[in-house]
This record gives sequence, C-alpha cells and structure tokens, in this order.
Amino acid sequence: MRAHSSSLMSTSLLFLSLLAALPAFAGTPINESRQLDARGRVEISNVKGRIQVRAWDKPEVKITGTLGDGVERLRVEGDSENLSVVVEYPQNNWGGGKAGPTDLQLMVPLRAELDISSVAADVDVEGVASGELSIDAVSGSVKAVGAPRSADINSVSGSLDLVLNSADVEAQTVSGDLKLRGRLNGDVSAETVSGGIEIAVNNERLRELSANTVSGSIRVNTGLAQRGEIRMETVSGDVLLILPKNLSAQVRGETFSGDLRATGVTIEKRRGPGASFQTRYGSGEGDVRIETFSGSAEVRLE
Amino acid sequence: MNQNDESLRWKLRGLRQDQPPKRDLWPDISARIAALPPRQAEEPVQRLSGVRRFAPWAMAASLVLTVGLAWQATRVAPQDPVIPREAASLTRDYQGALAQMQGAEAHPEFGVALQELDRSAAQIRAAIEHDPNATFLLERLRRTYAKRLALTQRAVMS
Repeated sequence: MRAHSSSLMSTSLLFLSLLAALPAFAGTPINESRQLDARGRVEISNVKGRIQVRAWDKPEVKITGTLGDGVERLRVEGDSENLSVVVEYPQNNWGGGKAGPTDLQLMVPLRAELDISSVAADVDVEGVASGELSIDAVSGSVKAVGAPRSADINSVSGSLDLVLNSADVEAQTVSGDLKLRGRLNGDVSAETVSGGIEIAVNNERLRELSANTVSGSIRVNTGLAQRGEIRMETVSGDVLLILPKNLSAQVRGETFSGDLRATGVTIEKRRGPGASFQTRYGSGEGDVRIETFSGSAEVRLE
Repeated sequence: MNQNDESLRWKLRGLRQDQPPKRDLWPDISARIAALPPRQAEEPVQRLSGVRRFAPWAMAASLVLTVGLAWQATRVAPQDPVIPREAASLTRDYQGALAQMQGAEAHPEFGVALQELDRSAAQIRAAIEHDPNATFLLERLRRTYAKRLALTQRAVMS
C-alpha cells in the first residue's frame, strides 16, 4: 500500500514538473532552417505572441518556437537573398481572431536586413548589425538592441525601448513611450502623439534631430555635430534638452503659455501672450529651435 | 492680402512633404481629390509587406489633406487669420474622409489609439484658436490627422 502511494506521488510530481516545463505558448513546435546570404533580407510577420530575433555568425536562418493553436501554418519561403517567415491565419484573419499566440524565435546572420511586422506580438531583437532594421507593431512592445546602420521603428500603443549604435533612426508611436539610447551620430527623428520621448546619445554627436509630440514630454541628452540641427515641438508636453557645455549653436525657444529656461539666458516675457528667447552658445555653428504651445521648455548645458 | 499672409502661404506650401503612392490605393480618396489641383510627380514606393502594406494609405490620406491645405491657402480672404482657417479646412477634409469608414473605433487593437488621436486633434485645434500664428501647430494637426486616417484604414481592413 505504501509502495503504491509512493508511486502515485512520484507520478503526480513528474506530471506537475512536466506541466511547469511547458512553454507559455502551447501549440505546434517549430523547427525550420534555411540558407541565407550574410547580407540577405528576412521578412518576419506574426500577429500575436512574440517575435524574438538573435544574430549569429552563420549564413543561415533557424526558426524555432511554437505555432499558436488555430494558426493555419507557418509560411517560410524565398531564396538565399530574400526570406519570408509569416504566421498565417485562416481566411485572411489579419487580427488573429481566436487563434492562440505564436512564439517565433529566429537566429539570423549578423548582417541580415530585417523587416518585422507585428500587431499584438511583442518584438525582441538583439545583436543584429544589419544595414537596415525595420519594425512595425500596433499594440506590441518593441525592444531592440543592436547596431544597424539605419532603423525605422514604429508602434501605435506599444512602447519602444531601443538601444542602437546607428547613424540614422526614425521612431514613431501614438501613445507608447519611446526610449532611444546609444551611439547615434546621424539623423534621428522621434515622434509621438501622447507618448513620452527620451533620447540619450552616448559619446557621439547628432547631425540632425527632430523630436515632436502633442502631449508627451521630451527629454534629450546629446551632443551636436558641427552645423548640426535640432528641432523640437510640443503642444502641451514639456521639453528638456541637455547639451554639452562646449556647444556651438544658435538656440531659439518660443512658447505661447509655457515657461522657458536656458542656461545663461534671462527670458523676457512679451507684452502679449507668450515668451521667446534667442541666444548663441560658442561660435553659433549649429541651429537649435524649440517651440511649444503650453509646454515648458528648458535648454541646459552641462 | 498683406506680405505676412503671402509669406505664410509659402511656408504652408513648404509643409507638403509627403510623397504620393505609386498607384491608386484608395479609390474613395482619389475621388475626393479629383476636383483638386494635380499632385506632385510620383516616386517609387518601397516594397511593403505585412501590416506595413497599409502605410501607403497614410500617404494617400496625408496627400489629400496637404493638397487640400495648399489649395485652400491660395484662396484665402486677406482679412482672415490663415492658420485657423486652414485648420478648419483640414478638419473638414479629415471628417469627410473618416465618414466613409465606420466601426474602426470598436477595434480592440486600435480603439484606444484612435480616441487618443481625436483628443490630441481637439487639443491642437484649441491651441490654434489661442495662438493663431503658430505654424507648427498646423503641421502637428496635419500629422495627427494623417495618423488618424492611416490607423482608421488599417482597423477597418483588419
């Protein structure tokens, strides 16, 4: 009797441990591999679940993970230059309907170009050094860490958390927060509607920066290249622009009802509504302009 | 018509930064712009895929609004403030285009963002009433409407 109980308990424990070992995405396992040129292009599309991409030093794409319940199939097609990996839903069910989430995990050549589309799937890309990195999501969040030459990353309500060593970056959301950090030295464009924008440039100087929002706040810490340009606009969001003390730029700020502050500058109120300032730091080679309606703006040199 | 108005009109023309799509992507919008002046020279559209294939709708919508904007800018009465009137014109164009697409607000993925865009557009319009000389507000409004139309189109087609 005791032996029977012990056996039952062992079986139960084994069953429980097996349950615990199951991945969050139950469904059909995926295990596919395709050859891809070192600088080939991979298009990846998954409506919900997760898209995880990691890089390796092989001319090959390996796809693993699990296909969600109710998903029609994983379509993998193309050649060694262009590969397409698409999670397909029945009857052109773009929104995924009641199908379960698909967990898509890819290993791609280090320098492969990536074009990733998601609706509610979270996107997680790490280690790529492609020519171009392109990500488009709706409610899924995007996390990208890498060194693509240029990146174009959009979400609607999902947040963007980007750590990029890139020349050019374009990033947009509607309500999602946008965080961008890294060694950035070219043109950066960041735009949200209500999401906050936070940009921190490490040990580099931007050539051009455009940061715009309606009601989100903007915080930028960057160096500015010779004759570089910065444009920042908000309606009600606050702006904080931190630049190095050796900045060489003409700086102008204007607001209708917000407060303005700038290092070393006394802001004079106009006779009517609004305030503005114009000043020169260093020899004034660059050009910085900030405009808000009711948001406050500060230019800080440190 | 004074010099300031003339200068502002040229600035408004400068807002026309969007490129038109290679092919006719939105018949309803095309019909709406039929009565407007010819669009800019067309440029190739990059290969689009997945959900991004809907991006041209945003460009088409944006095109309609910006063309309408420039068109309106040439027909202003001198005594009226240009930017508030352009904002009103933009709003009419936007509402007209949206009236052709119903049900997007109920979409689970887009509904909240669409409401956010509507709130933002209203906020910008109110700001323009207070500060009728702020050109950047008009550009913010145009961008917000362009996003609203693009997302509405995506929601309706999903």
